[in-house]
Amino acid sequence: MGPEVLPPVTALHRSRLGTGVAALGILAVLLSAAAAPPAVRAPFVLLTMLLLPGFPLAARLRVDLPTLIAIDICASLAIEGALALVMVDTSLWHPRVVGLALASFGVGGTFVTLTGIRHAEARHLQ
Amino acid sequence: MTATSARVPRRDPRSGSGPAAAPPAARGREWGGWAVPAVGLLLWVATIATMHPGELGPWGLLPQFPAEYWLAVVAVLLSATVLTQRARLRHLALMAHTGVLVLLLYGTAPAIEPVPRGTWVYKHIGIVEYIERYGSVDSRIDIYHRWPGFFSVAAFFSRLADLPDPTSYAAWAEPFFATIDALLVWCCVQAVTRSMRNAWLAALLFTAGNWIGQGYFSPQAFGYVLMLGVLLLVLVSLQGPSNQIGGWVEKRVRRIARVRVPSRDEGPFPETGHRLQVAGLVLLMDVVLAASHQLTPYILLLQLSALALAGYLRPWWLAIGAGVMTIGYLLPNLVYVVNTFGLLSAPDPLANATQKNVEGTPILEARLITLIAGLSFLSVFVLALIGVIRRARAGYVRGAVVLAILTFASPGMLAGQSYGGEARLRVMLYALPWACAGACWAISPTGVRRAGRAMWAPIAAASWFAFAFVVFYFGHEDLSMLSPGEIGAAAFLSDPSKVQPDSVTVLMAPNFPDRYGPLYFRAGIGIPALSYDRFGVEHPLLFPSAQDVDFVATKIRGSSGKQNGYLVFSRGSENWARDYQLYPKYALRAFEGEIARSPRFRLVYDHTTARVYELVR
Repeated sequence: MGPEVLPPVTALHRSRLGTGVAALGILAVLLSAAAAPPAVRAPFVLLTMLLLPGFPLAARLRVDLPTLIAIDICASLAIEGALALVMVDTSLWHPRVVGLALASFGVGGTFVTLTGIRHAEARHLQ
Repeated sequence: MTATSARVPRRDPRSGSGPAAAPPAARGREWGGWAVPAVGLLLWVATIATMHPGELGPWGLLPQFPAEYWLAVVAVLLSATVLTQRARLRHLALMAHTGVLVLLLYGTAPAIEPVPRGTWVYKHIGIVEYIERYGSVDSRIDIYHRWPGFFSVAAFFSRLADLPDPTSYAAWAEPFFATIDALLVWCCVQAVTRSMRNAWLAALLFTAGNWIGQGYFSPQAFGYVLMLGVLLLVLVSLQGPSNQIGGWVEKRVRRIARVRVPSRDEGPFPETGHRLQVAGLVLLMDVVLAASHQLTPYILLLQLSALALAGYLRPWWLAIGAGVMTIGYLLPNLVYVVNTFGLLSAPDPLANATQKNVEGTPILEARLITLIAGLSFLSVFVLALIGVIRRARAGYVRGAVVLAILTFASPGMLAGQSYGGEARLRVMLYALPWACAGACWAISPTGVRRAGRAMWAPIAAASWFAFAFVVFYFGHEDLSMLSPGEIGAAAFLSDPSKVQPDSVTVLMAPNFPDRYGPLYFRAGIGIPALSYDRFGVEHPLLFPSAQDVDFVATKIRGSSGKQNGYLVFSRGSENWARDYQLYPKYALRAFEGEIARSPRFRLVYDHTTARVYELVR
């Protein structure tokens, strides 16, 4: 009996997942900007908060899909927790500004990471 | 078998059937894998559409559930357990089963109850609202303002989602955290046992067996996610071979467990790359965890230290980093903690394990529920121990030692903390994911699937876990369920425009959300509920009279004789008084009649499920 574990996510799948997560983040920002009703906005904001900020970090790891998502969620919560703590401790409470900045860095970071992964794979194939 | 080939469907050596030539019976089973969660979901919808719980008896929600609810729980649980033992694991079907099970177990109460359950939730909501309103915390208010990690994140979400009142979503925190926890447990168990089959069974056991009820809108639920996240990163990315100490421990385990086969490894250590970045991420999670919950980072520190000591954690200095974060966060708050609560409760593990956080003599129903919970607690650790021993005897000593460290580190907290009488619950909570992995090894130490009659073991384990869950979790719902009337009373008492800040709030028994709203800390000072203040000893309320009214009035007036105050009667407190036999039967109703007739009190808030009387003379 050998090990029975899921294989690491391929670069292609990470790329697709990252694109989806980035699109989710952009959609959440647009819904917030359009002042969409909370019932519509909240699920997108929640999913974005769970997946976007940590994705650039989690996507670098060679892990299987469930583990990638789990690490992504924990990393996202940790990043948001750290930022929220800084805002609260310094009394500089600007959640919308920080949320927008976080989404921008998340989307940018995701594409930088995915590009890096694709280049690394291309080098590996050469 | 290579990791890549694990995804390729293979022929079943037992049945001889393969996916390429699936006979009609196999196709039926394929559909069955989806039909059961689909029907379970429909039955859940039917349940929540028809249930409108009002007055609950001492068995809580248990007698209220319709037959279709029980049918759904049994069918989904059994089907999921059987699927975990199939030759070919069907991940999507298992995911659907787990999702529906989460809804059935954790989503039912929020779906059928009008307001979030549990009195503590309302204080947490108040702190989130405070941060939303003032954008900061005030460490002079209470301990929650000193560990604001979770509340800050919740306030962040509230503002971004435009949901300023967390009461609107807090009830769904339980299924939310249960889903994330199930995912994390799946990943952790796969990493530690190197088996997807064990991962699915452990996630199922964890979901079905986590009756502790700590997944509500709270810092510990948030901290629990971060703790599992840290341990997942350690298991998938930061493992190393045992050092001298680890080697010595493994030798001792081989001797004690009488291992007669050569040592085997679960496989090469996973290598995810970016080790230093992962270590940085671990420290980031740990610092947020340290600022969010008072207990969880210490349990994590125990686990990381033990792993580092044995060499299983590389780099070893990560444990020191976690210690610096955890202790470093405590130091500025140390004086407050020592003066308010005391740093350690007692250096007596037995006393810490057995201390109760409630008083009174529970009625038979409550005692039976507690007995079942106690047996569940024991069975979890016994199964984990059997699993570790069986795994070691199969030759996988290193993996068995790692799992033993993760499982049995949490009882270490009993050395110095009773955690307000909740220590044994916390011990089980922190050990449960790993104990579920141990239970999988107890059922099958080498990961071979159980088929035919041998299926009894996983089915029995899952059924027992789920039975303990529904009995404990829903059996106490009469103490957890709250009503809009009680929340209205809490809002009244927390409103400085209606209640003077220097007044006191007196409960007849605990179990009322006496702190609510952003200004919760300005609400009347709570004094111990009359039932816990020896009221029942000197004034047993057997035949309530004007004397008892005078006693309460004197109690409220205090030593100064000028104190203002309010007396609260609520459904939750009445249920508590009934379940813990704090007063004679019907005494509370009769006493409230005396209060209502007395000219010394005036009714200022009136609802079917809660009344507030103000002392006026």
